[in-house]
Amino acid sequence: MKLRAFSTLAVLPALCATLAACGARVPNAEGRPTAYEDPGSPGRVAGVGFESQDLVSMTDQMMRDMLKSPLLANQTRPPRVAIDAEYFENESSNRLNRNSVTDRLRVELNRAAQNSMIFVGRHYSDMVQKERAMKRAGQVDPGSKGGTTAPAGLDYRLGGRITSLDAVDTASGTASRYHQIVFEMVDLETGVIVWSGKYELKKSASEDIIYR
Amino acid sequence: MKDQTTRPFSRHRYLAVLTVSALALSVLSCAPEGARLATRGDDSLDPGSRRNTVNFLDQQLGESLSVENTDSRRTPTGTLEVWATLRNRTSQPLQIEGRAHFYGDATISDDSTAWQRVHLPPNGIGTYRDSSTTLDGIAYYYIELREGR
Repeated sequence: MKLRAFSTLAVLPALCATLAACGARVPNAEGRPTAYEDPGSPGRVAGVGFESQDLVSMTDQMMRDMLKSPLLANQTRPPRVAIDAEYFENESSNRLNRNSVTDRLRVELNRAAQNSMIFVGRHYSDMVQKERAMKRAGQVDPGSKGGTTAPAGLDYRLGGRITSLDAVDTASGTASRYHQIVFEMVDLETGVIVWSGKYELKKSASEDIIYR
Repeated sequence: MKDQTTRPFSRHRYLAVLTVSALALSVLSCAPEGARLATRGDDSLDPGSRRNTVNFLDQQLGESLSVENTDSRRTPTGTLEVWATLRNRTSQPLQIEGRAHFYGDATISDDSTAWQRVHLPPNGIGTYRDSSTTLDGIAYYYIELREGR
């Protein structure tokens, strides 16, 4: 009886140790819980690419700079402008949706301009043409504001380019990337560039980050 | 006759301890209902008492950075442009971020600017500069600086 109890007591710790050792070899680390981060500051995942804090800082600076331009923001008749990605090219090595840049710039500028500029949604042309066609075909009524001869024409339109310079240290694996983002407002009658803005940054990192 | 001194815990004592524990738990769980009124901090830290100033968010930034000058002007379109001249007190390149808040007489009258990075060479100077979006109703500004991240 005593021998049987002793055998059981001796086997149990050995069994537990074996199970624990098996468990320790299986990678089962706890993941990080989801957390909100400030879009205007670097996050937990960061690399040499163009990231949210760069987008926020750049569009904020460009927007405030445009509001300082007398040709854009201090005219007796507010100019009509289009801020979209049609003529904003990405020639850099970044995977970047150009609309995220121009959308943010347009929204921030429209909210801050306080009617010192009139924003034309040229990227919504299809939507406007369909509604105008339905009105003129009598399929819908003229609306509450009546009709116009044609959609609004533009005075100025945004153009620009994103370029980058990449370098990699093959010994250490450290990568660096210089970004240059140029914005310009072009007079659509004369071709004159009435405003230019530039934003640049350079980053280096050894991290292996994937941008989608 | 049973020896009373050797009995580990009498029934009466057990009930007494149980009652006291239950009372204590109920008192602790009875927190006042509803939200708690926020308290005002130190008035000397209120941006309203630090008008047109530059402030360090990181306590140790003052050891490596000094603010030589700060001022403001109206742009041709009427927005308020502010700047601060910064000097790197160290022999290493320094990277800081700055942003500006614009206030009316009683409240914030403009969106705060996004963080903007300024690179300072060793022992060199640089300028943090930004501007408001609104034209009217701005009485003063408040600049914040932090170490670049």
